[in-house]
Amino acid sequence: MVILLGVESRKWINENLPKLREKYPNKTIIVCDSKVVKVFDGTTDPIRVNEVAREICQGKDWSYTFVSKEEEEYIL
Amino acid sequence: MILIDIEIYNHSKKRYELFEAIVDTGATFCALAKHIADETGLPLHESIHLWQVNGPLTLTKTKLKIRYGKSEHHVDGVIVHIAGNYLRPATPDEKCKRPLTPHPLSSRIIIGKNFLEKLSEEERKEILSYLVPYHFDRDPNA
Repeated sequence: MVILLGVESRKWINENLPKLREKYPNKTIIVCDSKVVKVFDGTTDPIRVNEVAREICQGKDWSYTFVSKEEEEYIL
Repeated sequence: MILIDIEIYNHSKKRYELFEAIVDTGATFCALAKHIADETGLPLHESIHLWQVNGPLTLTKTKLKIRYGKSEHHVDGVIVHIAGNYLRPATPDEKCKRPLTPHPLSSRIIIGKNFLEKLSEEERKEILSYLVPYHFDRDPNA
């Protein structure tokens, strides 16, 4: 079976973003199995995130995001 | 902002890596920061001149192998140098000079029009439908 990475976990992040903003402001989180499995301070090198996620999630669907303290609306 | 997950081929490690990507229909090309391009061993091609908000921007082109869903696509990308102090949140003395959040390309890449055009109509519709959940993030009475 081919696992399409990021599909379910991304959906979970999108649905839970308001709560995540309260709990993990300005952190990078890795999500797997509908829960936060790893937290980094600030932004983190995506290659490093991939290394950690491979270890923790072991072939399961996972995703990551930087949770800004406030909604990011200052992009032109 | 629409965020999706894509996989980009890492030439250094000879494997795909998952990236959080900002969907930007106004961007002609996919774009990524130089520190990420260096780590993934992306080939450097010719320079290209693009318009940004207030003037021209000269960037280096590259070729990206991107996996989305079950398909792999080869698209042009551009590499952007981001100053190191923009990769972190603003400090108190910088608050009036820049946005508080780190630069969006610190840990994400931009997916531009040239990648979206490679997708099927269903995939494009699905991606655009991701705008909807973000409405719940805002106060409906504001």
